[in-house]
Amino acid sequence: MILSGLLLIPLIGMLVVLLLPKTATRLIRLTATVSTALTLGVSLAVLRLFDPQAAGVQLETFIPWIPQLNIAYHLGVDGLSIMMVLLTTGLSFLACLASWSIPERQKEYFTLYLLLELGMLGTFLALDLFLFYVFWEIVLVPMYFLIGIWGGGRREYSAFKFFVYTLAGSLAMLLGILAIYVATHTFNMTELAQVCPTFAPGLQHLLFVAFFLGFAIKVPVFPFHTWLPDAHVDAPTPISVLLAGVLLKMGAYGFFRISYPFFPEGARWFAGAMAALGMINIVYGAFVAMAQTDFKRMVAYSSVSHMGFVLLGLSSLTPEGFNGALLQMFNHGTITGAMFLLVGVLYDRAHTRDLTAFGGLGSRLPVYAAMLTIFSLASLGLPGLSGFVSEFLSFVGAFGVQRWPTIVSVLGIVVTAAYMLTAIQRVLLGALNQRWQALPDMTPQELVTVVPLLIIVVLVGVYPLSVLRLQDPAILALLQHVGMFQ
Amino acid sequence: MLAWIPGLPLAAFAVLILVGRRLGRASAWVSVAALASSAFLTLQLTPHVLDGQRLAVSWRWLSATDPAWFLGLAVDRLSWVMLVLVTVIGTLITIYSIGYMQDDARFSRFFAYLSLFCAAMLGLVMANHFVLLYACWELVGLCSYLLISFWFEKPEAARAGRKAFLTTRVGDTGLLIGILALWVTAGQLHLGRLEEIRTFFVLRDQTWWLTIISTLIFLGAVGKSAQIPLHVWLPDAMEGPTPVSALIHAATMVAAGVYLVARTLPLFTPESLRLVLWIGLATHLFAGTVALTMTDIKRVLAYSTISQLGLMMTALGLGAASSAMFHLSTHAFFKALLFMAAGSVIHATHRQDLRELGGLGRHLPWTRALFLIAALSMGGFPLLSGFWSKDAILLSAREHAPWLMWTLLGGAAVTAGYIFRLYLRCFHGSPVASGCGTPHDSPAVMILPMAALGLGAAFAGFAGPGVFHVHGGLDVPMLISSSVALSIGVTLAFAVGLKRRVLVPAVLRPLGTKLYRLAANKYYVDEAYQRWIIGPFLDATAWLSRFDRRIIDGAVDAAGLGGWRIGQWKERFDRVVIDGIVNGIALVTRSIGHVVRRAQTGVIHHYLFWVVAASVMLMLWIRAVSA
Repeated sequence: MILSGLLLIPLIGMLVVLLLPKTATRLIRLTATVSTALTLGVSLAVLRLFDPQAAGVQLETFIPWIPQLNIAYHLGVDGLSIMMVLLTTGLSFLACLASWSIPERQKEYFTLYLLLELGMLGTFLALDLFLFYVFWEIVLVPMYFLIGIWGGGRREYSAFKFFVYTLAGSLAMLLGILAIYVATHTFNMTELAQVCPTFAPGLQHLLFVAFFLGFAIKVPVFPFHTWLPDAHVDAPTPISVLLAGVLLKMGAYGFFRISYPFFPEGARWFAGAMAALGMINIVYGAFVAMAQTDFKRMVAYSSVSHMGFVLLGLSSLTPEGFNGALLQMFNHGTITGAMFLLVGVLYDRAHTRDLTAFGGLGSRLPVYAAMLTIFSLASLGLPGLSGFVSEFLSFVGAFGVQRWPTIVSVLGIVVTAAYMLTAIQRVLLGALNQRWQALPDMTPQELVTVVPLLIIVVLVGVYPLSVLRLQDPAILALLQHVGMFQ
Repeated sequence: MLAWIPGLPLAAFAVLILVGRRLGRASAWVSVAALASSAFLTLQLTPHVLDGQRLAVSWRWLSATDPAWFLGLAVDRLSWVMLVLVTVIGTLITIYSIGYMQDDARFSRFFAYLSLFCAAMLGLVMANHFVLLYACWELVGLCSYLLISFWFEKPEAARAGRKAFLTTRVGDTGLLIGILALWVTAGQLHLGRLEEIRTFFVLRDQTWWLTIISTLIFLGAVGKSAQIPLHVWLPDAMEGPTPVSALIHAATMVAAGVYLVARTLPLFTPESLRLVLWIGLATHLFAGTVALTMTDIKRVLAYSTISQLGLMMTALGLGAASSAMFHLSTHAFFKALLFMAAGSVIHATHRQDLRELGGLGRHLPWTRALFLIAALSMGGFPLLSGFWSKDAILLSAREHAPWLMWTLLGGAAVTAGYIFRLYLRCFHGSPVASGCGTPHDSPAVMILPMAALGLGAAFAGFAGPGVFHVHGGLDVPMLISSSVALSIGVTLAFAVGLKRRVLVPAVLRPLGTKLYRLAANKYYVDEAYQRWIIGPFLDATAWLSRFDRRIIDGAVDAAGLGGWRIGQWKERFDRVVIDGIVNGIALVTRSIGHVVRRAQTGVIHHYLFWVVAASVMLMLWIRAVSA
């Protein structure tokens, strides 16, 4: 039942915000912050109850919902989802703190914000395919409005593009879901993981591709990635954080939760393409990021590049590769989330994100400089910080199976270092641009949103077992499952 | 206890980065104390290590169960030598920095970075697992980056830092791929098990894997030790503060590549060793000739470092790991001293261009004396430490092939030439007018560490037989030939470098000028990279970015627009055709209704009339048809 709490708290918070008068902005913010904080607290309680040794689903909740169609309110958590749940609650809380500076229409904003958190958590918790699809689609709606109303630049265009593009992907997935239901008459994902692998290979390939389209757009996989830079750049800072930190993970999580366990034959058939796509994401994303002059756009393309490690790890079908892929999802969420927060801090002060307009901020804003440097280093995969561990694991897993894509990807990390260091150099180093003479350093309120992420990044980097031990049994079980249907 | 050796400097880093600004001047002593304690701990290990023991400690890292992923620290003779160098020279240079950096605004930050560097470097040499080695390898690269661009307000410093990080990272990817290949093929990454790995491949008759893996590992060493073709970052790294150049870019970090090859020597095959030999030799000669032409004091020393690292690589290529490590150690002493002396000159005159310096010997007697000791040691003056280690390499070369020995002797003459050119033009000759009054020798806090290093530069060579097992005793023919090389170098430096005599015959002068220009422009390597690698790379990124926006995103927008158009068209179709039909039918019906309505008058006899008329018409029509 505790998992229902994770969904109920944002729901109640949302209803309370709806009941509050529009002018009570302080109370509205407070309600939202308390709701996200409570959700985070409950998720930590879930972590305490979670047994890292067990491979299967834990803390299950099963209530029939539409029995005629075998649809149930079915929740559960396992090694594949536990870190995603924590990532969601953690980032939602931090981004909620960062949302205090939202200047207008706070009531609508926080209502949608809490609905968004509800949808994201539901996606990671659902064990019923129909329920999964419902939550998956719920996420789209608040996101559309949050970008379209509170965003900047071409916000309506970007929001529309995000919405329609993801919806188009969801349609392919919906067809897949219907096909599965017609064949099996169940939506129970635990049962489906046993039944679907027995489908004929041709059908498996077809269904794998259908789900792949839905997930690939969300990840995003090249060439379906162009909604991402637009949406990230035009979204307000806290929403960019959630978009990069959590929403991209929904796609990758779909591979782990649905594509691989349901269609092992499809997964093996697609492995080569997956590795190639991962390589393209890594290298292509890095090259394009190198050419950007908008700081936020650069970070957005770095997301494309970093999500490539997830694909590369997945393609390997090895324990190291899968562990790397799943850990990379968590690490990318924390690192890139922080990067977007930091870009937001800069934008709030300077009202520009043009990399060429800065210079020499390192001497003016030492604390900010330290934070930006550390997270950039984490992003370029410096050992001792979390990004290195997951990239390394993906490489280790993939090298034996997909040799050349892996080698090319390893070479890609030089480009990653190049654009990250170039950004640091442009913003922080050199002589201080006189325009920014009066720029203040980070405030405590801003530091509060970033420092927790810093601690996680260092902790996972130095002692990766802290996360790996939670996910390892589930991954081994998944691989065994995939291997069984050979 | 082993974990304390890198742990103490790491703790110093943590303290300084958090509360360094509050500690002020005291922060330097936190750093010194931590490093000196590490040195003390290292020296305590001496008896165990010289007995040939291997001390180790390990912990779980990536996996809770698989020991292949347990990381650990270990100390054997090889790493112990590096530990002594890093901790002892590191302590001395940290003390020296107190004087050198005294007026810097980011005083405590400097010592924090220096401590982090020492921690990472100590971790690197103690690592007993390839992954930990790689991690520390990257971290020392980071510290190098942070310290080169320490004065980041200078754009050149910021650029140099980035260049150093990226150039070495090119090599590091080689190392990383090598590690991956080793894991996939041998399933073993422990540095203590290299012999096992070698046997594994030899038994399966797959030594070509060893060649590939060792070449990839060597690529990492090429980057870190600034060998051709990845040497370009080291001269630029001189933008950093001079103590950094002394510790990181001369004595320790750049030597990590040599250490790595020495450590993984069991994985090298004759083929890969030949590559090491050739790269090392080419670097030795190439950098030596460039050093002859540089006018910036620190750049002369930087190219000298590259050249000496090349010499060590040459020794490794011969399989003479002990000679290489021996030379690495003596080089660490005299090169650190040379840099510190150069720093002392810069500190006193605020100049570092040879054309603006001269006749400083009178004003800086201590600096001059110590510089001379270091220069003689490096030139191979008999019985000084550089003499022993260089001769050890020359002896290995003689065993390998006489031509190699003669080439290296030529290199030794070049070495003596550039270092004495530097010495003579700094401290002798006519004083060049400098605008800042009479220069003074540096304070004791700088001179005393230099003096301590001077002792090492002079006498460290006597540790050769005991620690490195290179054979002791004098080889008289070698003594004579290397002394001749030294004398030639010094004489030429005096005649050409100081007195500006032109010794080249008139016929060859155009060629000489051309060669000189080639060397003075560093053989145009930087320009070639800019033109053939960096330029095309940046073009490619710009091109791909346009491709992404126009083609990929263009396709998405086109699809969206297409959908929009279809919608519009369909809407018009609906309005004109479908609605048209519906409305048309309605219109027709209504018109008919209008007409028909007239007939509906509500008067009964009108209807009767129509009924009768219609019946008559019908009967007439039936008749006509039946007829």
